[in-house]
Amino acid sequence: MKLMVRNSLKVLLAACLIYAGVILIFSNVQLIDRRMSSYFIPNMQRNGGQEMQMMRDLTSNPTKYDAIVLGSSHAYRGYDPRIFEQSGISLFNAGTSAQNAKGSFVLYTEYLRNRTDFFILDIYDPVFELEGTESNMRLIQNVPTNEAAVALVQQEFKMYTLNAMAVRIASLNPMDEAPNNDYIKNGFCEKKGILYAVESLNDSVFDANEEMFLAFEKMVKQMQADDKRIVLCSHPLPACPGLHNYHDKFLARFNLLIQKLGLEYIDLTYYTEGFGVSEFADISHLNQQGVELYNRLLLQNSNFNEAVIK
Amino acid sequence: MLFNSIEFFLFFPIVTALYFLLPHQWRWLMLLIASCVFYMFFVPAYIFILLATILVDYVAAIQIERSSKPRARRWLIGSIISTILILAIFKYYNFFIGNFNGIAQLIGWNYSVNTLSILLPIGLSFHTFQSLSYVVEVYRGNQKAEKHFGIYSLYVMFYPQLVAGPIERPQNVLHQFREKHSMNYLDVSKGMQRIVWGMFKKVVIADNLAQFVSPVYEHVGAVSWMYLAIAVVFFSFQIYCDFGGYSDIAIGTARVMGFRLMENFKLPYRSTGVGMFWSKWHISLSTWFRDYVYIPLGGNRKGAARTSLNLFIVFAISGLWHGANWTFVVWGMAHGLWLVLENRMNVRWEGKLKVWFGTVLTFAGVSFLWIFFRSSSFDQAISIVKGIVTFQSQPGFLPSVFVPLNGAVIMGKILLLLVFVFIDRRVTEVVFGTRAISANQKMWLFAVLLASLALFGQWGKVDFIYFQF
Repeated sequence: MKLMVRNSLKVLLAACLIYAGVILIFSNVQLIDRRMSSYFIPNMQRNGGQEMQMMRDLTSNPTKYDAIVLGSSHAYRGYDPRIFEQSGISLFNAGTSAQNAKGSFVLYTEYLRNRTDFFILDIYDPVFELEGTESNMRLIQNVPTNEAAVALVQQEFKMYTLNAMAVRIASLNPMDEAPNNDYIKNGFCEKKGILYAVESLNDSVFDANEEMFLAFEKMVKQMQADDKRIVLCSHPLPACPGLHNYHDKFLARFNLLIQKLGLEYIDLTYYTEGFGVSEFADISHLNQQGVELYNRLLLQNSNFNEAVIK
Repeated sequence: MLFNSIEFFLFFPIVTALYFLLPHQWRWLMLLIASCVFYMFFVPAYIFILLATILVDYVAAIQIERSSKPRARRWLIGSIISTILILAIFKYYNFFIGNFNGIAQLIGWNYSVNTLSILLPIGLSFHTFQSLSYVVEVYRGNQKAEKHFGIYSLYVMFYPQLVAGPIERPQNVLHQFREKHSMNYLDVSKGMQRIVWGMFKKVVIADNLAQFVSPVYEHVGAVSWMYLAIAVVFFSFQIYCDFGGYSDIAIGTARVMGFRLMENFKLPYRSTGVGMFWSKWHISLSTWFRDYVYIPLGGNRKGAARTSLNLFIVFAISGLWHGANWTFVVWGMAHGLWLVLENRMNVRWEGKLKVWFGTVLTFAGVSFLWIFFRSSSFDQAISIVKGIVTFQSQPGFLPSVFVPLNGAVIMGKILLLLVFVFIDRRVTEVVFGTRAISANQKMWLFAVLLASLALFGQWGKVDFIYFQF
């Protein structure tokens, strides 16, 4: 028994040493344009991607905004601060790839609470299905403070997020990795191109991840307790087979929550007027032409305006 | 419960500790309860299907032993029919009805039978085959009927091999449940080594490759031939590491408690022919078909033509065993045909270069046939083959599912695979005990594997491929 315990401890200790050594190498050795970690573990870009650019913009300028957007790529590619500025609204886009309510909550409590009184929460159904680990890993690598990174690990305590934290701590090389070339400013990325092909959603069934609904509820309650105004928005999606079936199933669950929380939801998922192939970049994102149309639609929406002006 | 889940990381040490702490006479009961809990993590109600199989074969075996030959034969046939019937209803009913409806439509007969909306009980094909082997062995007089219902139930339900084998034989396992195992260093250490190696194969290799294979198979028309070819090679290793990994974990888990299960994989991709491949791949199933189908059909005792026919039949049935879809049947038949041709041509690869060539050729053939195994339809399989041979170019933008799979990540996966190909034989020989290395080397080897689990492991809810069978 003694021998068994001793040998097991030896192997575990050696494994920890190897782990630490590999993390140190992966976090610092550069292969072509990125760290080694990016080759082996997806979403491991330290100081990388749109998340890095957005966080830098946010923290370098202490301005208070009229509105801040939270959400997934739909958010950071769907709300152009330049368009809102033309209507006299200063807007910051704090959306990040596949951002879920757990990530949004940390961004809110750590960075955004005092930066606006009005939040636009972009709603995209699949985010309420995913576990959200990948998105949080990207944030762990790119939030400027260790406190926020630790809070993100606590939200999603998994081997992946621990690895992301380890890479963050071990990264001594300050290089930037794979910045998003579409980045404009205030968190916004301009999406180019037009929709190539519509994929069918016939085989997709909305499979709710209850944890995400709970996290969303927690975040909204915190915002409401802080007297923040909130509006929920979804931009139009290209008409494709199965879309209604999929989104209706999501709504059946989501509507219960928003009724409970008393939230306004501007859902334009099925809106088609003016939105054709040339307004979408792909199956789930608007291109710049679509963003202009959508943002103007929002600005004309009385519920939206009421929420901004309040 | 999945072996690669957090639940199993709690379940396994608790069950193992209880096993050694309890007095010998209560261990079977604890293992049986643990096995029920393990199984009920999937769909609890399906435990009753398992219970039905156990009950039928338990009673049948006792009756076979007590009866005269003709009566015993009737009990055997009754038992086989009822066990197969359960399999037929849950696994093949919709397949047969679908084909029946298709034929009816083809001949203009305006009649269709409704399919059933049922889930396939997990591991059904495995435990029904294990149960069948028991009844046949009792009938053949190679095994005494087990009178203890609990011990017999444990033989079918023993949790390490309950859902994906190895498909055991009663002579190998049943007596072990009566033996008193005490905790010993060798078993625990060998078992743990096996578990770590199995986890590495599953979580680091198979699940990493699956991240690329699945989207490519879902978007065959939207990717280039290069993606298709990489996915085909990746899948060959994915399925090997997935199922081989499962078997390693099963064998290791049992070994920690002192149980010895049969080997299921012996470096199959180092085979120089399809015959050799099948003697190293899913050994417990291949030998099951050999013992209970091929030999009863006449084996190789009735001339060359009959031997070929028997082989072909066995492989066609083996294909159907894997799944209720014609793609599996064709996959099985193609393997059967290949084996028949190989036997007829008496192909032998001798000399280092020829052995290497034979290995590459066998791997290429097996990989090609995996396309049919992995595809959900013939159309999909043919599109993949066509895409590769016509050097299909990237037809447009890659679907959004490929966004996280950038060039760097694909390169990383290729590197991981190359490392695996390099270490597979060496580590397998170490865990099998056929390659001697120093204690220090062993410590570092398993430390590297453990660290890799933490660094590269895909700890999601990825099922084992063979669970669906």
